[in-house]
Amino acid sequence: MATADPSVGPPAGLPAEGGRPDAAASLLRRPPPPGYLEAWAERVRERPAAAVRDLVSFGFFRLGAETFALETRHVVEVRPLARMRPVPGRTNPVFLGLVSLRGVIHLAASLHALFGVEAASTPPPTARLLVVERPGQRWAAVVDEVVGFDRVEAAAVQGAQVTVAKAAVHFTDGVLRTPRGPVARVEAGRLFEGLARSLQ
Amino acid sequence: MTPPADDLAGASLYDLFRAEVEQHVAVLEQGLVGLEAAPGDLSRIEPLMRAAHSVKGAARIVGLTEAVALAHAMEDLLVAAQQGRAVLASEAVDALLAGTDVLRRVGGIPQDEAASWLTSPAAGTEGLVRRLRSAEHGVPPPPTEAATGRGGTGGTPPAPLAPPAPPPPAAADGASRREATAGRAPAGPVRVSAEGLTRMLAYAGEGVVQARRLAAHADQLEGLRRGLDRLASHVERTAERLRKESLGPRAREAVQVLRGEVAALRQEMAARSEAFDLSVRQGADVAGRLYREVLESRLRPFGEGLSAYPRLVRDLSRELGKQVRLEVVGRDVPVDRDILEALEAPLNHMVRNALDHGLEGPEERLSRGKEPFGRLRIEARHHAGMLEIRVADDGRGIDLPAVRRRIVDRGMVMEEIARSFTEDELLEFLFLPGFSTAREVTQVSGRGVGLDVVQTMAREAGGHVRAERRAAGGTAFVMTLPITRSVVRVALVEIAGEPYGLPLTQIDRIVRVEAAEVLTVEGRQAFAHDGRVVGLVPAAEVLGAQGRTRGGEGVTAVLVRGGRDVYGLVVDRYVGEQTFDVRTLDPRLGKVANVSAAALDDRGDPILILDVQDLLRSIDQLLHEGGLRTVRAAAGQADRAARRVRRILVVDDSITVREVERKLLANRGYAVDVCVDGADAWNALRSQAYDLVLTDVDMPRMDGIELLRRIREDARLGRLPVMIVSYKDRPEDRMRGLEAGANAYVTKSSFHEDALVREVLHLVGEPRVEEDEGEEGPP
Repeated sequence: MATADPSVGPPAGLPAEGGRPDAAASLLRRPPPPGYLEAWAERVRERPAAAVRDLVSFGFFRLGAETFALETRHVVEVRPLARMRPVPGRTNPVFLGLVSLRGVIHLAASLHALFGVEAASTPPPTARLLVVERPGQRWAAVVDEVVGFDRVEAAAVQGAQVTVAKAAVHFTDGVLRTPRGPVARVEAGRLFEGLARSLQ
Repeated sequence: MTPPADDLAGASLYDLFRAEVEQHVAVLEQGLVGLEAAPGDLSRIEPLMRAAHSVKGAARIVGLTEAVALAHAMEDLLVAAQQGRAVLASEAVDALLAGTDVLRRVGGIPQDEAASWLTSPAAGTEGLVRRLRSAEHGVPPPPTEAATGRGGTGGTPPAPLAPPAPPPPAAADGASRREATAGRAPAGPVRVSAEGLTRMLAYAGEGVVQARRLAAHADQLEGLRRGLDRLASHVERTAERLRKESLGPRAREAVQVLRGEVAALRQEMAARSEAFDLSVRQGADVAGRLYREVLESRLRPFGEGLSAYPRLVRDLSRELGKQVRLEVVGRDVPVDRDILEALEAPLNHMVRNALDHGLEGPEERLSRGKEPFGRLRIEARHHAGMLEIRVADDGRGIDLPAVRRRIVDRGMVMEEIARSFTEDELLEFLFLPGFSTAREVTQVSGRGVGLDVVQTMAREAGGHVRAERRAAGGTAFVMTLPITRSVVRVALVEIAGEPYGLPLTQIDRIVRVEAAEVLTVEGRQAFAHDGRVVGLVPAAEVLGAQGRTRGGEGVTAVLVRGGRDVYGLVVDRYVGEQTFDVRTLDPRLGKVANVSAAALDDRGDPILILDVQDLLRSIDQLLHEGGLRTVRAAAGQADRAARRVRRILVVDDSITVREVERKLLANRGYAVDVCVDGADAWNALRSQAYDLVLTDVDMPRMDGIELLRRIREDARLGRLPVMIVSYKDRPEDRMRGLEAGANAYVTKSSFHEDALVREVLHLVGEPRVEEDEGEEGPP
């Protein structure tokens, strides 16, 4: 901190202080220009101009050639594929069996089977377990790729269809506009119902 | 997230009081009975006195005045006894026990009712206090109290009745309370919710698995290090060779740099690898210790579950007019807390049984040359990796001829067969519901409900129970249980290519049956073992999985026993014995047939633990339905496909039609599911695999034609056989259906059983897939 220079007098308009004016203090004590306070008060009082766009976070995953979007609030985590153990008498094309994630046993499901998308005979290296959840129902779903997570406008275009797989139509309720192009939005309720059904 | 119910951190003062009372009451009860047996042993009084004192203090904190008075009277009596001013004979002990009962009951009453209950005549606190005070001063109790018929204390000369001791001054009380707190061992028990403990165990187990995975990484790192070493020596050799060449200074420098870099890297790698190794070992060590500690915290000493028994035996034997001495061996044997809890009821039954039926009264015993008091012994021990609990008495023993007679009298078996039964086989009958050789039903037992309940409970806990006749006379019941439910020792086997665990407590043994030893008895395969014919059952078929039996080499069979039936469950191979950490199955699965729980194997992958009881039921079912296929143990036979049942989906909005169609097909042997309209069916088709769809045309939400169109357009379902069953019988309707892609069109007017079933047979084939078909079925 520079010491006060005694040769510099107090700036005009300020009362001199006992002989050794401090530059910083004098700056802070300087009266604001006229109208300054009122202008800022007005600014703060104003509501933000335009409403923020209604953005919702979605997780994007791929099954075969199709990409789907599921609200991130239903996604718990993404895990690498793990060995699945079939349950005798209960396993079916959708319910693949038990899988252990971090020491906790989960139920594994094939979204390919549920959505009617043809699955490759061996999973691609990008394949992952997408762990999805609705209160009380957690599933580890096999997907070909987890493309990413993004915030997009929640409002989806109804009626338009981008999916080729006819079965998937039942589980989707519209198309989202994303920077990657149009993506089918998964209707969470129907998804979990379909999964639950596979346990019967 | 709400904290679990017994998490004391959020408990109220009253809850703490109740917890404390529970603890002290247990001490009092056990100690008092022991004291009665050895009245001269003054050292036993100290803990009782402290317990009464603690209850007094706790009751004072929550303001239950009557309880304070009661506990105070008990404490004073005990102090008097300790100082030799009073003698604790039966009456005194009775009074103390009665006081303990009242205190226990207070601990079970909600807070707002406690005070009023204590002052009510039902509690009888006032009378009790009087009894206790009388005993303390060696004065015979007032006549009303002596109505129970037991004598007064007597013994000590009557002392002048001192006025009840005034409440001690506050300061002294504070000091004694502090002393009591200090006296309470710092290493006392802590309450944790059962779920919390289970979670801890799961995480600890996972920690061990992760440590093992890390060890694998450490090995790989070691491999890298060796690779680097090889690279380094390669570089050295190349540098040597280059030195002999004439190289320019820049090249020489480059070689030097290279050598330097590689050498540095090698050193670094060696250091890192060693450090990582050490870390991994330490991690594994800690994980292992944590796991074992958490596991052990699930274990409680066996004696903890026996606190009520001395009292029970004492009261019961007095009621029956018998004299019984209870011996407990193995109080410290560790038992899983869940099992300890599950043991309560069966032990109770067995003890009552022994007291009521097994042991004789003193006169009868004397007449037989025995000591007048009977001995009842409860013993716990670990044997062959399992927990064994014996309840033995030296009483009359089981009257085998009477059992034999009873079996015949009740028409259970024919006399000749009954005569041929061995002792073991006869004893098994004791465990049948409603079986009792008691002549009268007493209040204690004899209703014939006791022993079968014991067996059910033993099985539910994962073990079994058997009866034994002791050589020296008397009876013993032996329960074999797993030491802990949370960890189970299994025989690891492979069935249809997947690993499964069979709990050791539920199987007899595993045997290898050579091809030549396989017999065919009544159309089923079996082999001779231990003098009996044991049926062979392919485990894969019991589970409904695709079996993979190889021909020619013989089979591995796991012997399982259900009552008096023994079966040999044929598995692919036996891998070995292993211990697994049990996980409950996801509740959404509901009850999974034949499976009891899941576990994680060494590599952290899920593995299923089978339920032998369930398997036996499934075997029974299979045998009755005649669906059991034979085990291929003879040489040179090809694999057979398992006989899967074909599944049909019936879709119709009329409940009657649905039922009729379903019954028709189910009776023929198909598996049938029903749906109420096209949309419902479309959902079902996508989550389940079906061999055929039977659908109506006119239905709400989605009609049959639309359903059919969707099926035909679907990649997976496209070729699914669909039969339309409709009232519409005009040619154009039939055309429409067939054009939409139906394989068959059947009208309901021409509907009668044969037609429908014949059409179905024609479309998909028999209910069970035949051996020479693929999964497709006939075209």
